[in-house]
Parts: sequence; C-alpha cells; structure tokens
Amino acid sequence: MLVIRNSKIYTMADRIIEKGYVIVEGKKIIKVGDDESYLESIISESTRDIEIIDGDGLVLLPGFVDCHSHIGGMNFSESTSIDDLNEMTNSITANMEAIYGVDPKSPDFKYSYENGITTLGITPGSGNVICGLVFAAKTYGDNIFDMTIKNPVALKVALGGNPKRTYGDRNQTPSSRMAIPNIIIDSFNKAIKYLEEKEAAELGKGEMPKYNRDLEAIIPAIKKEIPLKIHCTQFDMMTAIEVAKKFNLEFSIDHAWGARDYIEELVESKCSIVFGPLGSIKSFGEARLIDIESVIELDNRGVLTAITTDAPILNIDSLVHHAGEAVRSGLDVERTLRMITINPAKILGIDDVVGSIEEGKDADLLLFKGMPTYNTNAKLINTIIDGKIVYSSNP
Amino acid sequence: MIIKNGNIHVGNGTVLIDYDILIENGIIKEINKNIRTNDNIIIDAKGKEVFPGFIDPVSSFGCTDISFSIKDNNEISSPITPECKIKYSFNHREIDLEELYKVGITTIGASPGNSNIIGGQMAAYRTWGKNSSTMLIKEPIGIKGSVINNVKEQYGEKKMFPMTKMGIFSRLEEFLNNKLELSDESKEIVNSIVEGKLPLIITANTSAEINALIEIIKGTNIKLAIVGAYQGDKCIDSIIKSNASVIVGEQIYLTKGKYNNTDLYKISRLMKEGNLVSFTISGDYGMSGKVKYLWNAIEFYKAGIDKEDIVKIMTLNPAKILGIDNILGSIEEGKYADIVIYTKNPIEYYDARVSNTIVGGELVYSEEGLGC
Repeated sequence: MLVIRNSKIYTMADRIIEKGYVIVEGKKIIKVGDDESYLESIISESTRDIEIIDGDGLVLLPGFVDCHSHIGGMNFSESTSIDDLNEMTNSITANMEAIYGVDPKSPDFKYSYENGITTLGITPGSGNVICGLVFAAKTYGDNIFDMTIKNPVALKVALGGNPKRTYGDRNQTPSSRMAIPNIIIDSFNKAIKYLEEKEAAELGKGEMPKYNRDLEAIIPAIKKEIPLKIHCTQFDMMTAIEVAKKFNLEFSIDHAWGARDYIEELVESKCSIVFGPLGSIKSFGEARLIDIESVIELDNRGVLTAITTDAPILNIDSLVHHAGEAVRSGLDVERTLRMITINPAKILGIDDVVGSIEEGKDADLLLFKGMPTYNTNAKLINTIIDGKIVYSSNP
Repeated sequence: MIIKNGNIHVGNGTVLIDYDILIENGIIKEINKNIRTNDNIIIDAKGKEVFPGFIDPVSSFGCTDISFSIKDNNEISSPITPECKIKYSFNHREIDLEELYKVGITTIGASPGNSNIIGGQMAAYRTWGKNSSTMLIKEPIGIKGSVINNVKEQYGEKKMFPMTKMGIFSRLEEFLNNKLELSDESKEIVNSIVEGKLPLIITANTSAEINALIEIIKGTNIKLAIVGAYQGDKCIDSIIKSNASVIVGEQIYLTKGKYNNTDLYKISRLMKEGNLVSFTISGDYGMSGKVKYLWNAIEFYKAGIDKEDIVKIMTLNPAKILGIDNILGSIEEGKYADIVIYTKNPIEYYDARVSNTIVGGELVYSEEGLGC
C-alpha cells in the first residue's frame, strides 16, 4: 500500500482538496480524501507494509496526458533520424497500426515520465490522407504491448500541406487540397458498402465481400466506436467538419492553428480540439496564425480541448511550456491543467482509467513543488505510474 | 517619454526598485527616483518589471522563412563566402510577421545560416521599424560560419567539397591563415578576425566540433563565439581556456535526444570563469517562433541559474558578444532606449505578460493598444 498525504490535491474531477491524501493499493487509487482520522485508522489497522510519502507543502496532480504524439516511432537521437510512423507508399493506409512502429526503449519515453507525462496518444504521422490507427499507452515499461491502455483509440486522417507535399512532389494525387476530401469520402463510402455486404452475408444474403484491410480499419470509425483524429489547421477545419458530418462521425481536430476564426463552426460541430504545437515561426500558409488564446474561448463554449507538443517534434517536456502559454493568455490554471490531464484522456476515450485522481482509476500521480503552468520552476518530485514510483528528483 | 516607478533590471545583475527612466531623442537620459518632467508620454510601471530589450544574437529572421522558399541566408555556391553581407537579404516585412517585439526581443544579430564554413557578414537589426534601413543598427558585427553537419549535407552529399569534417576544418584553418585565394576585401576581413576586431561566430554542436574549433584558434587573438554548443557542457574546460563565448542553441525543437540533453547549469558556470554566455532561438536549420524565447530562458531557470544572471544572458551578454554593448544591452544612461516592461517577471511566472515595448525611444507595443 502507498499513501501520499498532506498535499494539495488537484483531482481534475469534482474538487480541489486543500490538504488531503490518496491511498494506492496495487495499481489503483482506492481512496481520495481529507478525513485524517479515517487515514489514521487505515494505517494503524493495516497488517502490511505501508509506504507513506509526506506531501506537505506539495501539489498532487494526476499524470499528464499528451494525446497527440509520435514518441518511440520517430526518433531524432540517432545520427540518421528514424520515422516508423509514416508509411508513405499510398495515400490510404488505414490499417497501419502505430503500435508496430514504436520502440519502447526510445529515450523520449524516459523524458516523458521524468517530466510528468504518464500517458501518450501515439499516432501515425500526417504524410498520408488516411494515415492509420492511433493507440494510447503509459510511458513507463519495457514492452509496448504491456504499456498499452487501448488500441486503437482513433483513426488518423490528415488534411492540407502534409499529404499534399508527400504525393504532389511525386506528381501523384493528392497534389492539391481539392483532391483530399474525395479520397476520404470514397474510402468511407466503400467501407459502408463493404460493411453492409458483410452484415448481409452473415445473414445468408449474398456473398461475403473479399477481405479489404483498409476498409476493415475504417469500420470502427463508421460505427462510432473510435473517433477520427484529423490533422488540420485554418480553413482545412471546415473541410474536416464537412467530411465528418457527411458520415456522422465523432472526431477531434488536431493542431487547429487559426481556430479563432472558426469558433462558431467548431462549437456547432461538437468536435474536440487538440491544440498545438506552439513555437513554429509565423509564415504564410498554415503557420499564419498560431493562436493559443483560442483555447480559452473554446473551453468557455464547452468544446473539449487539449494541448499537445506533437513530441518528439517539440520536446515532450515542453508540454508545460505550452500549457503555460494558455495561462499567459489568461486561462485559469486549473482549467489549463485539465487540458493536459482529463481532457486529453477523454479525447482518447480512456478517461475511465486515467486523467484524474479518483477512486478506481490507475494510480498515475505527480508530486510537484510549486504549481506547474504557473511557477516556471515548479519541480517534479515524484512520478508514480500504476502505483509504482518510477521517478524521484535528486534531493 | 518617462517610465515611472518600475523595478528596473539593469542587465548587469543589478535591480533598481521603484526608479524612473527618462528618455529623450531615443536615448536613456536619466535613471533616478522621482524624476520631474513635463513629458506628455508617461508610462506607469509601478509594480512592473522593466528589462533592457532582449537580444537574439544569431537569427535569420527577415532573410528566410519556414518553408525555406526565400533562403536568402545561405549562399550555397561555395563553402567560403566572407564577402556576403546579410544586410542585402534583410526584408523588414518578413521579420515583421513574427512581431518579435511582442515578447520583448528588440534586437537580433542578423546572420547567415549554417550551410557554409564561412557564410558571411552579420548585422545588428532592430526588430521594429519603418524599413530595413532605419532598422539597421550596425554592420558588420561579426563573421558567421558553421562546422556542423549542415555543411556536409549541402556540399558532401552532392559529391562536392567538403564531404568530411576533415575538409571543413582544414579549409577553415586555411581561411584564418589567409592562405585562400580571396579578394582584397575578403583578406581585410580575415585580418580583422585575426586581430580580434571582428568576432568569429561559428555554429558547432558536438564536443568534437567545439574542441576542433578551439584547437584551430589556439594562440591567436581571435574572438570566438560558439553557436549551438549543445555538447558544450561536455568540453567545459577547453571552452574556459579558449575564453570563447557561447550562444546556446534553442532547446525545444528536435534537440533533446539529438545532443543528449545539454546541461545548462554547467554551461552557465562559464560566466564565473569570464566567458560570455547567451542563447538564441535558432537551431541547426533556422529560427523558432517568439514564444520559445521565454521558454529557453525558463530552461536556464529550471536548471538552477540565478534569475538576474539569466537577464544578463538575454541582454548584456549578447550585446557584448556582438560588440554593441556601448549602445545596447542594459538600461544605462546614454544607451539606446530599447526597453520591455512586463507585468511580472517572465522568467519566474507563466502568467507574465508584456505591457509595453519601447524600441529606440518609441512606444511600439502596448498591451492596452497604442491608443490614438
């Protein structure tokens, strides 16, 4: 049993506890509270070893979540950089699973939990139009399949400059934005027909269609079992909404630069937003407007909003810098922290296990000295993943 | 113009609490308590933090862009181009897109990129102004070069010289010994470098590159500044001996794994040994967005460096490295009035915002808008 006591707890659920405790049994949180007499009775009655961390003067948070990363699948620490997340041989590679492109021994996983990021959504890159399947994993472990919380959690689709550049440079389609939506629409129409034929064949009506790996991978999105994760910015967001609406899909808009011009449309579409990364230079085209302040208005209007680093494009530990810019733009610290904990967990559909400090959830916890996203030098004292202390700062 | 009652971070480590700054004709005329004046422009800085305008000493803003469609910062027809002047590439409309002054960066060391061993002549520019001419502060302020892999990628991959580090360093050595066939003008430049009149500002990332660079200038009067220096923490002793300055490259884009996590605390200790330390938001392939200027400063703070030392790293040190500290880099009487006022100290707090930026005595940004 592990007990962390006397700390200020930002549960990211229903409350902030000024001075309270969390009791961890095995991998799970079994109790969150501030009733000291109850805690004392648990401690005195327990017959087993209890590890107690005194969190007096410290802040306890759920582990951070970045729901849009390429960690382990893109690695720039080698002399020749590795990209195992862009299978750029066909603009449609729906059944490519990111999980097979990821090396859990990449140092970026270590940087993640050493800086408080305990869960990642790991996604194929944006070199194709229908890029592949996204999964969610813990950042600590030896075997990516054991680290995985859920696979798949989304089908990744990319609009705009990236797929256009991949294929346009080869004089193949898509070489312009005009061709991109039809590639998605065609595939989804085919997948719907394929699904209908399959279902009919199972009832003995007609023949079973020939197995198609890409259409198989699109079916969960059509059935709304997983959302689309759509890479886009600015006016491409309107394309995303139009396509998603056509098939009545759940979807998130990832990157979302320029969102401030499209607030009404985004609110109405009921999408979620994954904003970031920041720190690119302003330029004509997609990087014209990098408007982190948009997350405030989106959040106020009830849009489920998360912040991302796109790591390892930007270092994973810059997640706190990213969130800090939302605070600088005027967003409340607690609401900002939601954008790197419970909100991305919801977007990944894994908020039943991670993203907040609640009884029954995984014990993924961070103990900080100072308030991250407010004090720039807030220091991570401990990272706990699945009830295990995986990182302790130097005293 | 007068700035009233600010907490003034001078830039040299000193902080003056509740002081006024009187500005006349673009110059800081007086710093004192309760200055009386009839000025009609009064900026109330009570409780606010006042800094010298920040300086990014190595930047290609204005000379290239994110899509590399402009690429006016690398003359890739030859790896040695000392005659090239960055001022011919500086487009004020391009740098204006980024609005660097909105985070408080008021000066850049405009510089050639990393594709050439010797890329050309740098110039100091303001980040705000009517046009390229009025924004120019001084040129040349240094000779910019590079010994990192970009040079090999540019030439070696096309089977042109240099293909190896051997090629890069031997050619650099010949250049500095004036053994190359160069124009008279370029030979004069070499003389200025060797006499220590013009700093030699070279991008070098690994400890092997840094050590080789230091070996080449050993025993000369060359004023060396090492840019990037991601593994500078792994060859601290040779940097101390060489007396070289260090301009640490940006720490957030694709770099963490690549160079094994630079120890910024160790690098900053160089300041105790008399070496100048600064940083840039440029990396191997170009510039970052302005938000990263503060993030990089915060990386130094997180590494345990004193916050007034970090102000020095952002202001007076880069001014000294570029040889413009007689006119910029600190809030002192007689210097240009390039000043940024923050609501709180941005090195300590994420919710700190710029309330005013002043460039050359002119109010160029105000949080509440510039009014009429």
